[in-house]
Amino acid sequence: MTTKLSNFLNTLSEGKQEDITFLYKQVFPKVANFIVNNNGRIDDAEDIFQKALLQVIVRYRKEPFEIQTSFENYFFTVCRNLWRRELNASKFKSNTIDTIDTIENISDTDDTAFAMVEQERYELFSEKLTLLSENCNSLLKLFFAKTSYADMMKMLKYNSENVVRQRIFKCKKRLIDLIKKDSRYDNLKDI
Amino acid sequence: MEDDILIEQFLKHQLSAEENTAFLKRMETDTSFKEQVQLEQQLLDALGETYWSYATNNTHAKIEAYKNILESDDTQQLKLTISEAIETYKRKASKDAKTIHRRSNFRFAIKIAAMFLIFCSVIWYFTSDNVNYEVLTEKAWNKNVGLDFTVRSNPSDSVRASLDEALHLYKQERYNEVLTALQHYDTASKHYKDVLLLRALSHYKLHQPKTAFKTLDTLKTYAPNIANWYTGLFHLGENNLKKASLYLEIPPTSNQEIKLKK
Repeated sequence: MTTKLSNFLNTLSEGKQEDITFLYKQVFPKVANFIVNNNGRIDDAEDIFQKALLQVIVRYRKEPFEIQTSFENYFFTVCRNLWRRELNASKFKSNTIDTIDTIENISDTDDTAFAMVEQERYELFSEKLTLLSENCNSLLKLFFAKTSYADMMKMLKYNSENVVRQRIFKCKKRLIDLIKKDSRYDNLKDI
Repeated sequence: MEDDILIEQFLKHQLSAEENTAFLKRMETDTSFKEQVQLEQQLLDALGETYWSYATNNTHAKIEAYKNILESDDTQQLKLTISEAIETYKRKASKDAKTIHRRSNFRFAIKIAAMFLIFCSVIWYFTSDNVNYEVLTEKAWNKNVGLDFTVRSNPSDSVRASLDEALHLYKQERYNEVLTALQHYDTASKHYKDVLLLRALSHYKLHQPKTAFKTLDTLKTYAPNIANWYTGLFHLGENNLKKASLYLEIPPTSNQEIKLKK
């Protein structure tokens, strides 16, 4: 992480208005564009932007973390994930209502805390995915996107679906091993 | 069945009811297996783009720690700061946009006015009678077109001698004397075209336009360009712009020159 980015994060985490304004000016149009094109409205984009900013600052205040890309790209990903979270929330609630009877009454604070942990988990998974070979990375991205083995076989020119399946299992195992070896995983696994 | 395949089929809802029950029962007793299933589920949800991996354990120490921070006065203040900073920026941006809009309206009005002014000027330029024809005509006469015969002919020639004298008289505005000096020359004479020219010019200066034009008509046989040039100038002298334009190219401004029409 560059010194410039580190300084920016430090001043941003102090709640410096100029940094907030700068970020809003730089990233909000992209966030708004993404949300409006994905079943949202501009008000939703405003809400997501503020939630994402609060989340990032609180996390950084608690424990400063590294960012390997530009802050603008990183922040956009946080906003995008929060919107994915919103879009899937109703589906999630209907699937889990039997086991978590208080889910409807979850407080904003709890929800924000959950969102922060989920983002941490996402970052851990994404980071480890980038450490795999290019071939594994491509295969797993297709696998997580629920592409069929038949399609993957055609796309990546494998001889049979079975070969694809075995390759994926190996790649997934490597990814899981990398995740489990990371100390952050222990703090995230039972949440 | 291998665990990898079993877990995949469970996550893809491909197990039979019986297999599913057995799978869930194993998860209750086998902690390591449960962890594996949960992790694979989370990977699929988080990295799959279409879904999201939700957390549910609100008693977890990490969640508790975040909740404490989120409920702190500092974080409440931070929420306000974020909200205020964005609102202030939006207000300022909106104000700036209005100012820019007002400025661009003003600029637009100025542009329209300038364009109108230019349009009027162009119209005036092409429609108004702003050309000083007197100046143009004077410049054209001063070219003394065709009166360079002193250079062109042999000085020992008798007709040339008469022409020299006639030109001298012409320059002194003694036009009747020009006509007298040249009266004996006819079509058989040398330099007859120069004779005709001085006659035509003298008639014109003596306000005998009909004779002047008629003489120029004769001159056209010998020197059509010179004859046309002066025909145009004579018409211009009589303020007949339309007829003059048949022979001459008359420029739109006084600082240009009249030219013979090709």
